Amino acid sequence: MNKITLYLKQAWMMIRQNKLFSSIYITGTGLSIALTMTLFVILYIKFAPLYPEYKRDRTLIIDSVEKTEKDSTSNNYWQSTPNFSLVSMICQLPSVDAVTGVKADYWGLSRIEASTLHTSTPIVLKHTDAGYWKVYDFEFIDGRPYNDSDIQSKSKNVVVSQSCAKRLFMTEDVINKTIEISGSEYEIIGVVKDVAAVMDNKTVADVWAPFSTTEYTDIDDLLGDCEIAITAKSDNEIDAVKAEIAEMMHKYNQHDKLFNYQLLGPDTYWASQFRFGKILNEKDELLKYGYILFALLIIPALNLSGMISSRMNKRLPELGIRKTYGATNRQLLSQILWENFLLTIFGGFVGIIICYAILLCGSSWITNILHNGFIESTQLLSDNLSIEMLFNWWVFAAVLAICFILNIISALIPASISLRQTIINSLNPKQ
Amino acid sequence: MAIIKLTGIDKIYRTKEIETQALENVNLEVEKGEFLSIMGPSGCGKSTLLNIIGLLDTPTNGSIEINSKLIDAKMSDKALAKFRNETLGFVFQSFHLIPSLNVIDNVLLPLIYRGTSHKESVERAKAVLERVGLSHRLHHMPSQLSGGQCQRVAIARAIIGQPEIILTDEPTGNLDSKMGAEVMDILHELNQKDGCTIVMVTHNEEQARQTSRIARFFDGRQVC
Ligand SMILES: Nc1ncnc2c1ncn2[C@@H]1O[C@H](COP(=O)(O)OP(=O)(O)O)[C@@H](O)[C@H]1O
Ligand SMILES: [Mg+2]
Repeated sequence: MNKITLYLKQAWMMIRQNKLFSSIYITGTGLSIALTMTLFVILYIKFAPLYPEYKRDRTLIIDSVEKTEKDSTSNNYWQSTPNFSLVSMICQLPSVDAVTGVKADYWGLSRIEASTLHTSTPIVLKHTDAGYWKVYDFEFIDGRPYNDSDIQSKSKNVVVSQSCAKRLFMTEDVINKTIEISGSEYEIIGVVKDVAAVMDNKTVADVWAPFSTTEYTDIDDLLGDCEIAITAKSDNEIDAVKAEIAEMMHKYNQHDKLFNYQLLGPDTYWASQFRFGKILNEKDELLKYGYILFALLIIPALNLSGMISSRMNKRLPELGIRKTYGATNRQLLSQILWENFLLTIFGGFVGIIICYAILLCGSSWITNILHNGFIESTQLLSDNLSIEMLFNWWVFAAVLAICFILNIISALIPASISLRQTIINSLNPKQ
Repeated sequence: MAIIKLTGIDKIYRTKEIETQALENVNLEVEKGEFLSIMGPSGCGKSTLLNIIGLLDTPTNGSIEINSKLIDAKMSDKALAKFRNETLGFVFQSFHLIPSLNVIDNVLLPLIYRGTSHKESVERAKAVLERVGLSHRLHHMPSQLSGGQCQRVAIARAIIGQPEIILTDEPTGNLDSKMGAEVMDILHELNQKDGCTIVMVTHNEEQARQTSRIARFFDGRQVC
């Protein structure tokens, strides 16, 4: 411990005595850490269990069904979102914990007006079934979710978000109050904590209403206009659910005389993020992120490595002196790594600050990326990135790991080359 | 008993263009408590010899024994470092202080690698700096000191670990005669009071005559 304090003290002296080198080094490290961390936070938002999608690791998604004629001479082919009858079929399967159909929003999070007697505000409205409240873990501040009998009776009961309640009524105490949406009156039965706009399309909304209150078109036996999310009982049972669904579809196709139906999915939640129509290349997509991360790290690491090499040459006599008085190569190597680690840690702090600046100034830009651009200005949605997205151990652990890797790549090689010199050559380096 | 024993030392520097034989079959013994001067014209291999004795460089051929211990290529980096740290002290012509450390931190450097506690190291550094007459410059940086002061810091650093052997390469070469005399006084005191064995490379006949023995070199060979 004593030794490390000493190394850090020396490192601090070195930083102060080489202000230009240190500030360039710290800024360089900071920028690359900021970029990597921004990417990491985006990935974290996209894949980590976050409110209200805490079950992402055991969620399966079906967004598309394909229909072909059994008659092999026909080329007729349909592709669409599935419908609510598929939802009720899946509901019966033994390994399924919960399933929901969310009415598809083909145009992204489109806006309509909600109004009271006094005011009116644009909202994002989502039509769902009652299973929705089991698949997703919404936090009810007041009231209750709508249930199956609400769905069956087509009762016009809605759940609103906290901020929407405030926009409409200036208070969160809104149970039993009515709002008007597109000419119909709805009664508020529940208030939930806001969902950040960066979350999945299926959960981002201001108002939730039973799908049965809207005109929904089940075009065909399995084709319709909802998207399906399923939770398995545990993440071990994901494959079981997949198998049961495949079995169920097989039987269904046997009974149907005219058509074959094929689901595009079910995909695990994270794989569903990489699906483009029939193409699912999650490995390639993941590799792409890997390359970006690699480039974000390796390019600055090489630059920093070059900077360190030239500094190492300047410090060669110091290494010689230390060896003359009894330092071992190992001790010197760890000294250099500690010094550099301190610089990189400072870089890490700078990086975290830059990263938060990017994320907070650019949160609507990030929302856009996460929704593939299908979103209007998010000013009215609660688009703030939440604390759990930004300040979490994963992100900090990642930053620390990145610091560590950057440090090793950029310092280890130049340092070990310098240490290979004989003492006398280090003391009197050739010009 | 010889504290340093060199047998058949050759040193050949090979570069792409030329080969320089810096030392040729050097056999030299230094007795414990001796103050040996090494003299000879520039380029005759004095520094090379001293560096080899100090384990800062390796000979092409020949063997070195220090304190009856044979130093060979098989010794680990760690063992060699321990040897330099505990048995040897160096004073160079160009001081070789670490510019980013202040006087006291420069002086206690050998104790860091010995694992001495920081508190004790500081105490001992203060004591040796007092001995070389620099108690009033503890927190100065090397760049703020005169040449003579730098050399006294270097001596303090060489003796803080109480080594048996002090090796010094033209310690007064960069100093004026008054400062040079001060440095020589300190070295003599170390030799006489502390019983340090000293090997000194010098160009100064008068300084050499005050030491116990002179070894003269010419073209890589000892001539007397
Ligand atoms: N690193 C080196 N590479 C090549 N030749 C060297 C090197 N160091 C010293 N020499 C040569 O070895 C000879 C002895 O040098 P040195 O021991 O420094 O002499 P002195 O200290 O007696 O002036 C000189 O001819 C010098 O040019
Ligand atoms: Mg010389």
